[in-house]
Amino acid sequence: MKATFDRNALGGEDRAALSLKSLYRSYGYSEYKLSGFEDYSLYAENASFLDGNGVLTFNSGGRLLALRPDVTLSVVKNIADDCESHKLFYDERVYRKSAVHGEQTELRQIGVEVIGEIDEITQAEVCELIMRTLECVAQDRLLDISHAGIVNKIANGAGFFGDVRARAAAFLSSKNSHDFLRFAQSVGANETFANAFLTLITLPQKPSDAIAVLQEVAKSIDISAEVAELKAIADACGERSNIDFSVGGNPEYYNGAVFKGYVRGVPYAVLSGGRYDKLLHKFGKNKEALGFALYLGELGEYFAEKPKRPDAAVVYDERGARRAAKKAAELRASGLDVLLCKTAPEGCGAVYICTGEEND
Amino acid sequence: MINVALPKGRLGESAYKLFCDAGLSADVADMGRKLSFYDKASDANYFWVKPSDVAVYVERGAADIGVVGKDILDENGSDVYELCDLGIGKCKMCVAAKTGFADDASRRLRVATKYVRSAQEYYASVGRRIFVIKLNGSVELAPILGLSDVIFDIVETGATLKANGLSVITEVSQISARLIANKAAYKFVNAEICRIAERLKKAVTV
Repeated sequence: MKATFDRNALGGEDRAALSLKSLYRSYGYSEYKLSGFEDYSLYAENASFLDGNGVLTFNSGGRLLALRPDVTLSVVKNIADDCESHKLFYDERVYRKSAVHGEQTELRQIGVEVIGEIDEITQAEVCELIMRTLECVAQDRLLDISHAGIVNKIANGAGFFGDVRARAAAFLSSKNSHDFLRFAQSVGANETFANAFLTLITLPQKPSDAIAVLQEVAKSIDISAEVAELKAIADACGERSNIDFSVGGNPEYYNGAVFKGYVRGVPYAVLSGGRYDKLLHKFGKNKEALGFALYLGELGEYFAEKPKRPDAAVVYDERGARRAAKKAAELRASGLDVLLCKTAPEGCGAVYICTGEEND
Repeated sequence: MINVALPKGRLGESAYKLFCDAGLSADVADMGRKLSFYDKASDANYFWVKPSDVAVYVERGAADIGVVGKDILDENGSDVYELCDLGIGKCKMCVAAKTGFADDASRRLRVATKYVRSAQEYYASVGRRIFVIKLNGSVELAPILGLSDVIFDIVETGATLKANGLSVITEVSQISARLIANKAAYKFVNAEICRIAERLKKAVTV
């Protein structure tokens, strides 16, 4: 009997990965495969990109190697600094703290990186891929969009640098307007910019409302170009998107849109990404970059399915073993999943007894 | 339906009263020893949990929103939205020492506390090297017995400190109860969570 590939026999995570890879290929993206390990120095030099995630290291012949906690850094390091634009996708295992239990663990991550020239069409294409990626895993999904350029200009104008900047970012990330007011006063922030920062914390989520508020802010602070870009991105992402500056995005790396995706039933973001030209520049590469990653490994509970029971069980003892094996083969040939066992398990569809002499 | 995690004890009772005052829930006179109850009028499921666990329930999505002290929130570093200051459970995070204590800046300061992370962050911000001694209760005893130079703890009235010969040497921050929300729930139950936050804000300012 020739074995055929049954997509439905795969678990939810594998089905989603297959669909996503097929989706990215349909847009002409190439699969990018990484080598097994990375030099630890890559992460030591870019620790802030890892967002507080630790790195698991080991010594191999005097080289300190790391289990990869992130894919983007490796792609950026390895990508050729040529005139080409690279449209890539990957399906890799990463080793970092899980959002579910906070422990270091192995997680599957699938994502897209575009490195080269990011024009409006490319940006819209990536937005479309983000929305289709979320659609692939859940009917009820939402994308939050922020813009690192807007946050940078307003924070710089307010005089938020170093530790003060980190604290201001924490207020933005937690939508904490009440403590931010006290904080801005205590650090003597520029009033116009501090008020604009407060506006980012309390911004309405609906894109049309948010853009209207930001356009008002742009009358006193030079953020018109960034607001126009944010509007174009929100338009490209469509109705299941919100503008929300709590998304964050490390200002050392991100310079444009920053994304976080959510699906109903999962209590944390399952997708993140953004425009990270600054990271490329850090590696001495004069390119633009936009990408996102879906944390498939964090969706384990969401994809959890009831354990599948065999359709039938064939129970045997020493004397009925041959007949049982024959019976099981017959049943499998008819398309059933059959368990050959000495005691019938609970929950099986049908049970065939092949014990004793010729009495099945 | 929305799930609300409240801290067991006096703070939780004050918080629930605030929900009732804001017209968000019916005043349940006798909850007995129930760990959870459903309020039909507001279609909300309330449950009482250990104060230090509220943020865990909310961050992991078992509760959509919750009420938690700012001290615990800062200590846990929970990734949640902090939507409003409820103005209840007010106290201060302080550094206290035996009355007459003089700091010797040439050596590491020994700090006894339940709030390890908050203490480390505070002393890092002022550039002081410390040893943290993690204690789970009766922190005031540490300087008296010579276990630590100072304590880093919440102070409500200062009566316990005074009774033990200690006094506040620095007020680090103001503490009060906060309404927090799970980040994903905030996206999918947005109208309801925003309505609750707005009504609580109004009830606080009344």
